[in-house]
Amino acid sequence: MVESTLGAILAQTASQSKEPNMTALAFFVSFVAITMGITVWASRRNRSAADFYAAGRRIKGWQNGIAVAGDYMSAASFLGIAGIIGTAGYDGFMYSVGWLVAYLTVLLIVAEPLRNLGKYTLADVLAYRLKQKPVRAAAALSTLTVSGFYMIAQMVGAGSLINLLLKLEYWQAVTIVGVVMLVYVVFGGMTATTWVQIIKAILLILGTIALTILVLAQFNFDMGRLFTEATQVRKTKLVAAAAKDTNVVMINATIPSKKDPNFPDDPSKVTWGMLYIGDGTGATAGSNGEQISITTGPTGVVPGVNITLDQPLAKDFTKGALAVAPSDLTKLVTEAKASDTTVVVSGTVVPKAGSSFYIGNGISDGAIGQSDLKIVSAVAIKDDKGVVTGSTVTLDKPLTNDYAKDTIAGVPTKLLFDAKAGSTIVKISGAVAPKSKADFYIGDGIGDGANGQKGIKVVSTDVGFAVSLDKPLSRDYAKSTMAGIPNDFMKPGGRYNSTNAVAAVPAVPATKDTPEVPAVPAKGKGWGALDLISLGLALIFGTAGLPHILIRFFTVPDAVEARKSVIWAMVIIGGFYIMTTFLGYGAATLIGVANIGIVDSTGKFTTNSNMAAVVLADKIGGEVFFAFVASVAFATILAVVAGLTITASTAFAHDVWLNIVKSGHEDEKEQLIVARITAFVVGAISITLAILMPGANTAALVALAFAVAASSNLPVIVLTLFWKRFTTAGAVGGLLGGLLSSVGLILISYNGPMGYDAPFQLENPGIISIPMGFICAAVCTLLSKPEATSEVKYAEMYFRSETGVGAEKASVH
Amino acid sequence: MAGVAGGGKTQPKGDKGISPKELDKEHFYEEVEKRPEFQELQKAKARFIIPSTIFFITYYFALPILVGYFPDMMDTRVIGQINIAYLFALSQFFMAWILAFMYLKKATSVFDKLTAKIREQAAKLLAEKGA
Repeated sequence: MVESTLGAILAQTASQSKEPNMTALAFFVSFVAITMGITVWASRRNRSAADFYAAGRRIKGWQNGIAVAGDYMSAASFLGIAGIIGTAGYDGFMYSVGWLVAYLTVLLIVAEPLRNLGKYTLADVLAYRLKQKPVRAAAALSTLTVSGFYMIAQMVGAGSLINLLLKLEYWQAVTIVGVVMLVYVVFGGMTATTWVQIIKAILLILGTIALTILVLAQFNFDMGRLFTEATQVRKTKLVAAAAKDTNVVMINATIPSKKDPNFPDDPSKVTWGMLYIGDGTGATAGSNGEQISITTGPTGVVPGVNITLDQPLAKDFTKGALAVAPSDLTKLVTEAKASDTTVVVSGTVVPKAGSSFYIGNGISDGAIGQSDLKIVSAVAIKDDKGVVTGSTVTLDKPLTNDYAKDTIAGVPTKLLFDAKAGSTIVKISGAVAPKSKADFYIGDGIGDGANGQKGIKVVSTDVGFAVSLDKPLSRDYAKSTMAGIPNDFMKPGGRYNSTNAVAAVPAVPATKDTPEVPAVPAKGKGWGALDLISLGLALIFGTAGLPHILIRFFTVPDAVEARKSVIWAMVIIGGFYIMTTFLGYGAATLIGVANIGIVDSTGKFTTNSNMAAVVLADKIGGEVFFAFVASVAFATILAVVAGLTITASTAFAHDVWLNIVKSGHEDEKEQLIVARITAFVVGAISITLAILMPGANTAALVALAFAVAASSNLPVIVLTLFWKRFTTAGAVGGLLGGLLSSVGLILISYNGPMGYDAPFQLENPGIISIPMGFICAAVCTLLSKPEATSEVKYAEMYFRSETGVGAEKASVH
Repeated sequence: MAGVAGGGKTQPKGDKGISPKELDKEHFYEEVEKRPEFQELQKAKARFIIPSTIFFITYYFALPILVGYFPDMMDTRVIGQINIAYLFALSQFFMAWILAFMYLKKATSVFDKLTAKIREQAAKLLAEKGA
């Protein structure tokens, strides 16, 4: 995450501000008011369990199709996919493709038998011919886990969104979403939830179509130009305004830690290219900007800090002048005596052997110091936790004076470029920014009559890379203008690749004055193809195991309507997913990868890929449209969260409470009370979990929910429908085996608590956990004795699943 | 809106009076499943669903496999900057839609008619047995 401290960072590209957006608030409130009205209406119709859990099975096929689409196009689809395409290019489209093709599995294999056999939950089908209690318990556990993963992802998305718009604290945002959603579910049941989905799906489609048209309008409706522009995406932006005739610009970048699995083996192999600078609204990178070669050689790109000072410089300073903020930089930890060749300095970075070394009190007449020293070797000093707190440095020659503790000493930071008298901005070398209000010294600093200026304070800083160009700029550019070496976003491999061909920022080899800075690579290492296949497996087999999608088929009168609803859903979802490429490429080319993020109430900008579609709407649609799109995104999340909550509470009330605790002795009133209490509990737990993990990535979390669903639910659904010999042990084994292997692999992957050191290096566990689900189900079946009842009832189940004889009917009102 | 309906306790309507309880007679299902109409339904479904499933899974996984293992080949630009990878991904949408509509057509014209016949026969058979 790149962070910057200036609130004005997006000022000229977007209307994002520190203030709450009142138009968006108005849209929010009207959406909530309308859906609350529906909830009141629906609550009057909720008389029976079938009404509460399955909307009385009176929803028409086309209506349910829209509702399925609404339930499915979650924060991950609208915010997540546009974000991945917008920040990594083509690979994000793989999510879109998988999530649509997945409906063929639902249509051809699952939807109709499920509608014919089930009543309210997935467990109804799984336990049909098997022992009720163990199967229902395992199925309920799986449903709660899948819905939980899915729910946290939505809550995290909602938190960021409200944070962006209303500038509320993250926990307040999550709590509001949770409470509104609970009202829908507890009072309105499935009927209200269905209508909330339908309204939301229509709003989402309209918003996406409008946004797509606006994106294409920016390219005069020439798609070829959009795609051409997408081959020249700059991932970085100017961190400081660049004036005409200068030949240096500062661009932002992150410096990866060595723990990152993407840390390049040989950063020096990255070659320089052209720097593209411009606002990207033109048809080509050059039309509203220009392309200039980066000066070749190791000084072409160096890490630097752009510093704004509280007062102008009194005279000109030339490149290379010493410029330090001593309160933040390294100092002597212990006093040093003349003739010492070893000194101990503070700092979290160990200086490199061969770097030049500076010691002295800096700027003042009569200052004493030495700047002609070189480092022979440096050894890290670590505290008990292994954190580097300083270094013991051996120098090439002895000190000529005594120096007290806290004297400035270390690898000096210097002016990267000439600074003119009257300027308040200087650019210094180094990757560490001084704190604001730190004292700042500039000058050559050494010896009697030191030639410099002091009494200046740092106002603000921007860390980045200073890029030297081989000719001066032809015009002025504002801060935040897109600038960088172009990335080809049409090319596969931006997220999942094995060669890591395109680096966001090239590596900077060490020079005598600067530490080595590695390239900033794209995500994913070495497993490109397997990562894609594993993700694909989770996506296309996960949908057919998602409880909140499957229970939607119980809301229609019969299997024929269930089939129609899948077709309707596929048309809507497919159209939507094709448009995600326009949103994603639009965001990459029109806003710039580095500008996709949130400005919070303190004015701090944080990159956040989930915000691509919303920030895009802000830039090209104006304030009202931005507010509309943002509230659509909010409605999207609210509706999906409601769908998940009703799924979880149905699973608990119907499977656990009625069929396990009460052994099937039905008491509708009691059951509905239990369902509502469960909804409260589920809501409260997910609100708490979402508050605890604000940094989680919504698209990745949802893909994990798909992996769990594909590994635990799908194998058991398929085997119970088509394998006569299938037993209770097989069902429980398959459900738990798939669940444990998928969740276990997630925990030991780099998405889990171990981070980059984790042993499992695939992003998605599907390629291992889905076969595991099938193997566990098959092995447990074959190891258990054949179940007579299961095989006798198979004929009945099979007949009913194929013909719909005896299927649950719509309730008559 | 009488509001008397219970979860699945309603008498089925338009189902020739078959209710799940009545159907729980021994060997009833084995018998109806042996009937030619049911066998025909099975065959018709298998003939469509099995090849379609194999086809769509193969077609789908060709995408991540080709993109993953042959990124440079898939990056060949075809129309302007649009490459094979993008067009192939786009074709997946049309593949899914076309297959879905083919299934819908087949189901409406063949499966549903056979199902209706089978349900009628099952009702008749049940009436005979009950008699």
